[in-house]
Amino acid sequence: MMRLELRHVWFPIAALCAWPGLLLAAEGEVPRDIEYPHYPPAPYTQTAAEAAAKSAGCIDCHTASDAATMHRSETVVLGCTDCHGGDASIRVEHAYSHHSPEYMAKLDAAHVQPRYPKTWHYPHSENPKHSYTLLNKESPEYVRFVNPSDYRVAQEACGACHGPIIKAATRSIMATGAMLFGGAAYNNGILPFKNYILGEAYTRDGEAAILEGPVQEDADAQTAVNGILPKLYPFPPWETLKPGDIFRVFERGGRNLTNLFPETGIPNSLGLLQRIEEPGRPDIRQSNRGPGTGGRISVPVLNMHKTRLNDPLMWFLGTNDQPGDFRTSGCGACHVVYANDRDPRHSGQYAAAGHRGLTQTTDPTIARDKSGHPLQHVFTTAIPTAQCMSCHMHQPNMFVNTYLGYTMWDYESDAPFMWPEEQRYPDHDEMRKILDRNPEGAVVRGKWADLEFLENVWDLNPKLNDTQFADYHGHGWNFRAIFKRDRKGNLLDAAGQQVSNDDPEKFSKAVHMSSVHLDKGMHCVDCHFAQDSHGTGHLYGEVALAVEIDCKDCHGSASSYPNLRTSGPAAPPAGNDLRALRNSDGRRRFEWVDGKLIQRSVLDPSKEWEMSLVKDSVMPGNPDFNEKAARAKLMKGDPNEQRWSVHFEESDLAHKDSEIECYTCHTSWTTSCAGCHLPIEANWKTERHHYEGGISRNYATYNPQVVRDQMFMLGRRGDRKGGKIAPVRSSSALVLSSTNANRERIYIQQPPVAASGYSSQALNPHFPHTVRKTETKECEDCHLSKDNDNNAIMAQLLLLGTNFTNFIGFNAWVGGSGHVEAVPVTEWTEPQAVIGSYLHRYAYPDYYQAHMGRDQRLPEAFEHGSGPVECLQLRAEYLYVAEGKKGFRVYDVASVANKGFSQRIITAPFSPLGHDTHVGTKDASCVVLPANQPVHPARNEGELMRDVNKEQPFHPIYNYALVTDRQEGLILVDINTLSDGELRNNYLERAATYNPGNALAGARYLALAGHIAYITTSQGLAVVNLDQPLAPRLETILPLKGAHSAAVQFRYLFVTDASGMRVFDITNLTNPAEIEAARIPLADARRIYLSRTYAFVAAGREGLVIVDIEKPEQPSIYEKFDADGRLRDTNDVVIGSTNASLFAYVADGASGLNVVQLTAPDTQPNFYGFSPEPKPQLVAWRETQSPALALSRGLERDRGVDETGGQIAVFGRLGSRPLTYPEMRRLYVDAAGRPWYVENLPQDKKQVGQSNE
Amino acid sequence: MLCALGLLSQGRLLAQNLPEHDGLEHLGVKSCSASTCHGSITERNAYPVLQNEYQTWTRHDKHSRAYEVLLNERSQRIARNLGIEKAHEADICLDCHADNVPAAQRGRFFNLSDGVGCEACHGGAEQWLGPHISASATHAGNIEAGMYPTEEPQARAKLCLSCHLGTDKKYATHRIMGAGHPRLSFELVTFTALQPAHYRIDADYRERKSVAAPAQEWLDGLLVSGQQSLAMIRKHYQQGEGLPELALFDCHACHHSLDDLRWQASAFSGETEPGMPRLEDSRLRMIALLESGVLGSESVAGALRALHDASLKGAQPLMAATGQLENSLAAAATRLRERAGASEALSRAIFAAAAGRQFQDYADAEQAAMAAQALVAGQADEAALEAVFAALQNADTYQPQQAAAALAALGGLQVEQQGSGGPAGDLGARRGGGALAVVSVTSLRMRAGPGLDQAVLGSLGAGTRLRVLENREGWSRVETLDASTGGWVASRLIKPVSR
Repeated sequence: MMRLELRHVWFPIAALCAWPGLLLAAEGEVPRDIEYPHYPPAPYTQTAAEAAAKSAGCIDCHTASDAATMHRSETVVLGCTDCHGGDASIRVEHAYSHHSPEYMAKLDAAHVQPRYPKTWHYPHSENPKHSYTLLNKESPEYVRFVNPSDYRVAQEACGACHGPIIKAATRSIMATGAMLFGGAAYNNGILPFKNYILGEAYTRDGEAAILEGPVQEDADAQTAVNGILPKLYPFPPWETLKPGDIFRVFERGGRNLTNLFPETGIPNSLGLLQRIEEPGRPDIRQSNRGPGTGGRISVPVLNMHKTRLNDPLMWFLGTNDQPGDFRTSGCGACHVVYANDRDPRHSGQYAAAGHRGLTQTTDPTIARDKSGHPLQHVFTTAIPTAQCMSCHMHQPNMFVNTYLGYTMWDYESDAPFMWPEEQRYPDHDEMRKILDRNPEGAVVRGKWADLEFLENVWDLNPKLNDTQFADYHGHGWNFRAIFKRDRKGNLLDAAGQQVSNDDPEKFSKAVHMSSVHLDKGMHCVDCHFAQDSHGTGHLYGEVALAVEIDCKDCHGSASSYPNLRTSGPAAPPAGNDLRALRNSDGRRRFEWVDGKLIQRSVLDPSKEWEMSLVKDSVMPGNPDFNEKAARAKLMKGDPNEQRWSVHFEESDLAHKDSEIECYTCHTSWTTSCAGCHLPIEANWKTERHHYEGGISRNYATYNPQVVRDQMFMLGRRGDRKGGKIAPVRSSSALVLSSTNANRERIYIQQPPVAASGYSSQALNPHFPHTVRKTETKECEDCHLSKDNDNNAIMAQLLLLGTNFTNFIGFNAWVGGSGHVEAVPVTEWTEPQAVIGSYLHRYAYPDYYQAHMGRDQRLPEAFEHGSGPVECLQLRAEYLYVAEGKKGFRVYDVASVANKGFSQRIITAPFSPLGHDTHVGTKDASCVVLPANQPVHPARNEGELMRDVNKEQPFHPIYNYALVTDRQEGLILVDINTLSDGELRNNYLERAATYNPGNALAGARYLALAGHIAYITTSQGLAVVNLDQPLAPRLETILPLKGAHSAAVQFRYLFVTDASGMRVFDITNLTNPAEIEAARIPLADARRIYLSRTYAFVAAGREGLVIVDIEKPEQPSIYEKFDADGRLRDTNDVVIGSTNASLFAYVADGASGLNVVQLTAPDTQPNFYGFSPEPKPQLVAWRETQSPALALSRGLERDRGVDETGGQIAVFGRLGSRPLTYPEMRRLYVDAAGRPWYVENLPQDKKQVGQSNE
Repeated sequence: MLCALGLLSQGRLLAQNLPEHDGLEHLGVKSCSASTCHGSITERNAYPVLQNEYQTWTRHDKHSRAYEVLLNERSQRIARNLGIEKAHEADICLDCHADNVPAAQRGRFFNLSDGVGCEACHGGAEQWLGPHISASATHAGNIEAGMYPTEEPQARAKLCLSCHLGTDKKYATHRIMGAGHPRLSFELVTFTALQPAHYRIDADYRERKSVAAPAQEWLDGLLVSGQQSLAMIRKHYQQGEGLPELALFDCHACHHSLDDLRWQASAFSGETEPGMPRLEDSRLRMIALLESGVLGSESVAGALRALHDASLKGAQPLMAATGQLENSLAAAATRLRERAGASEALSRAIFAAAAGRQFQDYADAEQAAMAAQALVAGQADEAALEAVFAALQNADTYQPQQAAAALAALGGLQVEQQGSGGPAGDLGARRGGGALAVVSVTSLRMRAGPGLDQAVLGSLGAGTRLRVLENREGWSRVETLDASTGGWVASRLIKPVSR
């Protein structure tokens, strides 16, 4: 047995370790070489005397403890060193000065010694901040000393009694994080496996571990049926992974940036060999070195390793720096409570302990004023939701904020309170320190960069106008409360009455949309019991597959009372018996009393509530009978009858339990994170948060862009979860940027393509955790309303997109009569505020003032000469342009933001002999891409995609760009070579030309509804069916005079012509029927753009005309806006969201590009509504090189599927998908194709009465 | 050796306090039910116990719902009938439906609502909870610290019978029964299995605890039952103006249809006559049968006859008779125990008695069936055993000849012919059997056989009362109560009438 001579080791090293700046995960500290004695595992049983001997010396100083063994049970007989190791024979016989060498010597001898004393700030006991991989580098003996429940050592400390649970817990999805690694890798095209293969785990010594599931036989079948994975592998380092992206910069060949990458070991000191520029090669590509150099990385992978996304998870300590981040690792991460949140709804009885991670222990040796200590030295199963929130605060990590009624803050609401009056110019060191705590790029400019401000954000609530904040700030983020609102965004109270925005009490009158479970006093642990938390022992990749609880286990169904057996995907065959559960006071957690089902709170067993029983709610005569509930649950699946009765067979019901998740209707709102920007900066040295740690170059911040709470969408879950219809959320769709070592932006805001070839604008079915009793989804949320005022709602519901959250991004792309032009409209740094906007005013007050000083003129633009451009579309790094007699051309715009480029928009990256993306046509008028999200259909083929990953095939139309030509009609061009990562095959040719009998002469514009095209021609409106794209079929031609443009929203087609705006019913897509009463006369209507309940018409000399189309058959002009005369030759308009605000980008022949803010917190307090009334105000403009004719539409981030059922965006989780065309149709037309209508409140009650008895 | 439990050690065992009187703190179910102790969802093999005992109890063992029962409508009705405000607060109910120890003995996790929980049987854990998980713990040590020796058949029988039959302190009296409480029944081996057992007798169990053979266990249960019955009779048989405690008498001796004239003479009934209630003697009678069948002596039978005779004469003679019977029982028991190894002899005696129509009363047949099950478990023809219990399914529609036939068949015997010297049952056989039913439709066709293809014999009007003689695949053979007509009718069109 070696006894460490401490004075000889500790003091000299302490001197060596005087390291400037932050010490992260032992970076910079030289580890001490310590030989540890063997600390035996804690025994299963021993005598009290044996245990006492193992505590003897410890309690000389630790004279009191909250629970000496951590367990409240008397049956646990343990001494201190059983769990912690160390030497209990060292006695402190009398009082020493705590600074005396004698005392320190004893302390050192008794305590296990760390290899990294400085990093642990030994001998202080609070968890270090941002320790991450310190646990992997430290000796297991010391890890056990600090936290015996850490998974690396828990078998030693806890295994004698809890062995199987520890095994299960280390394999559980909370420890492996497999859902994030797998989902992000698949959705962003890094790995093609929808049965995920990556998961985090470590050995006792902190080495990356492969995890094997307990069942290896018949593994494929287990995976296919139960989603049980055989094995999870460590996540490879980001430096060694090839980029999954197909961005231009990753293509092969090109010039090297030699000055930055010294070629060590190559006998050519200046790197001249690599600098040879061969003719015909692209100008700028990668280094010829491997992955990880020169920005040759996959940003999502880098993000997963280095940016605070979900991490730290169970294998690491919390970051212990800010409210919401205080916790330990391993078992104690949940079972040992820290002070994180002052809200009793989140923290229960622990709320009073504050939110600064301070302890309340009786142990006199623990510092009371140092954050990062647990409240007490005791295990508990009374785990408050606030503890769960230290991990579940982020979308890819089960966004539990929704349960509490919060979502991510968007930087706009109550901006005056959150941004400093003086613009901040943080230096890099300052930024680094802040970003280590909070990965949001915007934070460095905000007041919440300051920890003290952050800690007190909750206290601002009484003063705030736009929102209310939560008191937890995991990752340093702010979370805003969701309130009940109508579709226009008016606040509503419990009775559905409007609450005035001026009412000082408005936030207490309006309903805070937390889950009804929370309102009852429930915490996460009141639904998710031991198995959900510890796992089944099997490996899973999808969160919902690892859940055993289901709504009906406690609430029953319309036909039966609950049997209190779990029945979710991870439940054992007969389910776990919830009646066996007992609370800390010994009482049953669930109990039937007098025909009522009672549940008792885990946190506070004296609190109990009565369960709502579905069967009672639908049973006429029962005191809990609720007619609306009964009607919905018992409605027969015959839309023409719409009768309901308790006597109908389950198989005849419209909303069968087997077909639809309970929470499809019992959801009050869902969160949709429509876009997240990951801008990598090559120069930033940062630490890896996983595996071996270490500091390396490259870092990307993490920037939520548009987070909405009023998008309700439906899709289907995968078969393994029952294949039911469930709410769908937009799940953290990424756009990636990269700034290389020369600070050149080598790609900007690029959405990756998923492994399945679908767009990475990911969607997935989920349980939103926002169950409420009154604020549920109603009939008119999913079916046609009798007032026919929910066309946009239906478009959103079916994932067809609403053109509201579209992403315009850094540049607005303008087509002119002789140019294409990119006009930067936002700041590049975060937040990427639209210049001149409300957010700009607060986040960048100096820049805003400068902008106003320029009379709101945007300072920059980049252009390229062209023919007259009436149509252009940006997709990925290419700009697709129809330019009249010059035909159709695809410009390379990859380097549009690269300061190293003088001509930023080019026709080809190198010689036209090696690249020709021009297709000559006689008079190209327009180009339309079926998806303006990048897709690559060829990836979605083969056995892996079809049979294993269960992906739907692409519709063939997604291979093509559709070009209209005034003389040639319709031309299809296969554009897939531009997304295959191969630079040598980019020669575009027409695949088909279609103009039967010259019927498409004068073709001017094309709008698509799936594979049905509506083409404006000289004759009028031609309907062309492109189900077989290379063999189009002309369905019909509707005569119109001067047909200009068209736009589709679900059941209606809007067309501009010489008379103004016309509306067509396209319930039958191939046979539009005009609603003649719906005409809006306009003198000069040109392009039209539909965004939720408004049509924006570029109305020539009338400027921008905003038409209210909430009721498409009764449209009315809402406003004509000319920006004080600037809009007088208005040709085109597109809409997009930036943060919480809505913007219109207007192309005006006379005045160029105009940026109009449509809603802002100060102009429209209802800005959180589904479709708030626009309050247009010009915020920026720029003249164009030639008269502006057209604009590129923003990335359609909420469009997952087209109008004929063709999937566009990737669906996370195996087997899930958007509704098919027939499934969509079933929601609104009968078997004969006739629409049917519903009402939330029926006028006549259609219940089948006693006659059926 | 502890396991050699003769009647000699009975004194010590019966002297051991039942858990309800152990004076120890009862810590509550939660103190046992941790998933790493006895609350594991699945069986484990790391330790001698299964570790899922709590789950078995809470999921499958009705004892865990004993308290809950007090909240149901039936219990509330019983309470109302008894003038009790709340069944779940009344000692008279809680004494058996919960671990109703005095408040001072209720520990941190104790909940009355846990019903008959761990410590209601295993004893208060105050002194053994901690020690019993230590590696050095022994079963004997645990018993010493207050754990109740449930593995010992007599001790267990005493424990179970304290509720399933009653003690001098708690007893389901005729008043309670009259208020609506269901009839009690018990046999140690059967009820232990039905509970269901939350332990498995395997090698490590045998290492730590004594294990009685099933026959031995059954016999012990029977003897303790018999003794307890006598103790009850001694305690509760009143003399004077009032009636004796009626719950001591055979329920079905009185409770049957007036059309169902069941009385018959029996070898043990002494001078009791038709129309007289007779003491419930099923267990005593079983011992008497065994004594005569296995040992060839009649001392218990004689004493039992004397008891019945005495029951007609008043309390004093009865007390004397019980004393005599107790002595006979003790003597017979000692001898029977010697023969317990030869369980075949025991079962043969029972089957022979069945063939000889000695189990005419429901309670007798029930004891015989449970005894048969305990003795032939594992070797019996499952279907034949099923048939025995099928014949006992409903006490109200019980047909002695059917039960006797099934029991005899289980032993490979046939019921002896009527009139061959056995107790006469003519009347019962001819008129007694058959559930009562009533025609529930306006007009019901009566056919010559079970099936729609059978000839129609006539029709019965709504409300006609019938006796059901036989059921076969949805058809019932019936006759009118005056036996004037009969035939086959569709079973679903008649409704049973409770008596």
